This record gives sequence, C-alpha cells and structure tokens, in this order.
Amino acid sequence: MSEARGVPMPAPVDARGSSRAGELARRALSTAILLPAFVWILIGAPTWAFTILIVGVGMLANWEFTRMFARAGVPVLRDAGLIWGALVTLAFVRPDRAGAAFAVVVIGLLVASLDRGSAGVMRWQRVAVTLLAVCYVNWLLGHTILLRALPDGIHWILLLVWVTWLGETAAYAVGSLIGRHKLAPGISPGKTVEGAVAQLAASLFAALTAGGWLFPGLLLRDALVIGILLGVVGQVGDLVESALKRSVGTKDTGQIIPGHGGILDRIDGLLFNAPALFYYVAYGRALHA
Amino acid sequence: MALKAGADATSAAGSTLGESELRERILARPLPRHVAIIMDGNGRWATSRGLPRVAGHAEGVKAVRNTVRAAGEIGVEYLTLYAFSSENWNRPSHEVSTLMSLLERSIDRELPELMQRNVRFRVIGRPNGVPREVQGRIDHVVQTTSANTGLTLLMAFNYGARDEIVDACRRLARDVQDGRVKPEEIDEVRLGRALYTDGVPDPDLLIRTSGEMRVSNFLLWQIAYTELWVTPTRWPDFEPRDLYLAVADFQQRDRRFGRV
Repeated sequence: MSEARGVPMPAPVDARGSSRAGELARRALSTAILLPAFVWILIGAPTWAFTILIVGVGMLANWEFTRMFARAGVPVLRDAGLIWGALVTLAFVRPDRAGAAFAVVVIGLLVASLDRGSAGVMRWQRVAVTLLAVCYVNWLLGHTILLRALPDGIHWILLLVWVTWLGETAAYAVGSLIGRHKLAPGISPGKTVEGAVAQLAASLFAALTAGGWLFPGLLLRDALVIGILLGVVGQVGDLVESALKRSVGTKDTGQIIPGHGGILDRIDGLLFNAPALFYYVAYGRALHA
Repeated sequence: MALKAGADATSAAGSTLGESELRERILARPLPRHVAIIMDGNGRWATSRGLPRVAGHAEGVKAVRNTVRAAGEIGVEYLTLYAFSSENWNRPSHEVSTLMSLLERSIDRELPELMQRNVRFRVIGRPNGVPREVQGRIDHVVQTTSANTGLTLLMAFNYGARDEIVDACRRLARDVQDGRVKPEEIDEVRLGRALYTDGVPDPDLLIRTSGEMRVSNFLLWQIAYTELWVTPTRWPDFEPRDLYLAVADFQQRDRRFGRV
C-alpha cells in the first residue's frame, strides 16, 4: 500500500489572481452544470446510478480527506482507505448485512497495515486515521442510500439537499454581509453567530416550504422537526470538518469543483444531516406514517 | 398440472401489461368471489431497508388500503386479510404493542373511507387477548359498516385456523350436549356454519406474499379447493397490479373441486 504524501492535486482551475466576481461566476457555472446532473441521476436514472454516484462521491471525499492528512505528515493508508471506503458505502444497499461488511472492512484495514513500510507507533496510527476517514466520510455518506430506498426516497433526498444547502448558502451570505460576532474562532474563524442563526432560519424556511413543491404531502410537524434538526446538526458537521482541517493546517480540501473547492467542503453538512434525517424518518416518525 | 399451466399463462399474457390493461382483461372473465391474502413480509421489507420492523407494518397499512380499494373496484365480494395470527403474539412485546396502537389508530382513520367505498367490515379470530380499548374500536367499525352492501372485508385478527376449528367443535359439542343436534347430524355444512366465517363462501383464491410456500394455519377448513398463488413481493410493495396478476392467473386455471 502506498503511503502517499504530497500527492499532486488535480490541476487547480486558475486558482491564482482570480477576482471575487470571477470566483462567484465559476461557482454559479459549476452549480448550473452539476445540480441538474445530480437531479437527473436522482430522478431520471435507475436507482443503481444513484448508488454509483454516492460510492464515487464517497471515494473522492475519502481521497481528499486522506490527502489532507498525508500532506500534514500524518501517516495514512490512502489506497486501502479508498477501496474499503467504497465497500462501506456500497454495504448500505443491503443494510441488514452492513454489520458484516463493516467487520470485513475493519479486518481488511488492519491486514493492510501489515506491510513492511512502517513500524512502531506508525503502524496503528495509519490504521486509525484511515478508519476515521472511512467512518466519517463513507459510513455517514452511505445513509443517503438508505434515504433513497425509503418510500418517497427521491423526495427525502431532495429535501435533505435543499434544506442543507439553502441553510449553508444563507449562513455564507448573511455571515459575510453582516456577520460581526465570531461563533468559534478557535475552530473556524470565518463563522459568525449571525451566519449560524441565518442557517437555522433558512433551514427551517426550506423545510416548511418544501411541502408545496419538493415534497408534496410532507407533514407540517415533520417539516418543523426536520428544519430545526438539519439546521443544527448540519452546522455541527460543518464545524467538525473545520476542526479536522484546522488540525492539519488546511483551509480548502481541494479544487475539484471550480468555484466550490473540494468535494469534502461541499458535503460536510450533508455527512451529518443524512444520518440525522434517515434516523428521524425511520424511528422518529415511522409510527405516524 | 393446472397450476403450472396457469403460471405460464400469466407470465405470457399478464406480466408485461400495465395495470389498467390487466384490469380490463380480468374484468372480461369471471372473477373470484372471495380472495384471501396472507400478508407476509412487512418485517423483512423494513429490515432490508435498515428500518425498524414497525415501519414495515405502517407501510403495510397503505398496501391494505390500496388492496381493499382495488378489490372493491373490480367487484370481488369478499376479501379476507390475514393480519395477525395468535402465533404472532410470541413476537417481541414492543413490536406487539406498537402493532396494537397502529391497528387502533388505522381502524379509526379508515372508517370514513370504508363508508365511502360501501365496505362491510368483519373480524374473524378469538376476541380474548385483545385489549379492551382495541376491541371497542373494532366493534364500533363493525357495527357502523354492517349495513354496507359492497365488498365484505374480513380481517383475521388474533386468528388461528386450528383455534377456529376447536371453537367450532366446542360449539357443536355443546349443541349435542343440550340435545339440539344428534352426533350423526353433524356434517360439513354444520361444521362450516360453526366457524368464524359463517355465511361467507369459501375462498376461490388464496394469495401469499413474500414467497413462503406455507398456509400458516390460515382458513384450513375453508381452503380445501382454493387456488393458491404465491408472489415473492413483500406485502408493503404489493400493488393493485399484483392483485390483478393473481386474478388473471386464477382465471386461467382449470378448477375441478376434487373431480376428474
């Protein structure tokens, strides 16, 4: 297994010397292309296409995650993380067998650490960080596959994405316009209390209005709970990712989406919101269906 | 032999048709008067999606609603649903109690639609062991719908076919003891009238979902000449189209009732 450090990033799309307006234009263009593609895969393509998309996104995010650590000099099993991470996400297709798949992955990662490349503390440290990547990225992301398999699965995914991303956009906009009070300067200096409040309000707004178009038949009670739940949990997920990045001295996880940065930066809120939404739907409201 | 021919005919004639075409096709031929269904697979439907088993039961209620609607629309006279057998009481008590509250709530909620669709609701099974609160609501729905003239919906609840036969024997034995009946007067007709299904013709078609090839103590006396149809589809995924497929298959079969 390679223990890559300082693997070259995908070529940055004119990362230097770009104006703020150019950055925003690139961001809008990326969204204009990727969002319809995502919606088409979700609605127009068979279910397995969505599964492949999620496994692929998980692999990319896992690769960014381990690269972030490798660059900081933290030993990590990048190839093994990529492969076993893909398996963990794929296991969500058969959740009644997911426990078995997870056992295989843990054993597989531990076996991968048996190479001659390291000794002493390094040996378990590599496994620990790789396992963190697999659990944090691939395991949490796999819950979107569970959401998709629910009755009204397409609607639950649309709701998840809509609430999370509208909330994050509001936090960004309000935070950079009128944000004065730092939320957690030790973890994420850019985040403000104003932005956090805006995210909660926007998430709630997104959930409450979803019944009219995105999710016909969504109960008001569910919309209320989901808006607050995702508005809070998504921000915690965002903070966790910031803390992880800060611990290794990185600001952006990558440049893969022009104008948006890394994929991990895009899905950090989703990683926490997907399980939160799934377990709310499965256990919190199952009996009201 | 008849079963095999029927199965082939369905796959050739029915499985590619859409719901409405299939429906037109089965309406052109004699329908089964009485369809019985063993609703199996709620738990497996749920666990295969990472959901708690009770979520499967909640989803199963929707399939019941759709099936009652579809059966009534094509003109089936009796629909018997095997919802809860006495053996099921051995399940984890959490599941049983949530199943109870689910049943209690859905019975209340469905009453307006049962009335609107002119459905007569009946329950077959042993009444004891059912919480009084639940029993009261069931009785209320039975009484309210008793004058309806459309589909008769029989819900098997706390039901076991052997219990049913035992209860019938007790009734007949009491009649003999009291001198109302002589032992040699007991025949198929009398025993049939002592069953919970008194007044209901025997099922013509028995459907079981989720693939098990078992009768599971359901209507043992009544299904003597009933045609069986098993589908791997789990109950929450059972749609009107599946009902029509079963009926189309039934219509292809050669029923002999024990004759050559």
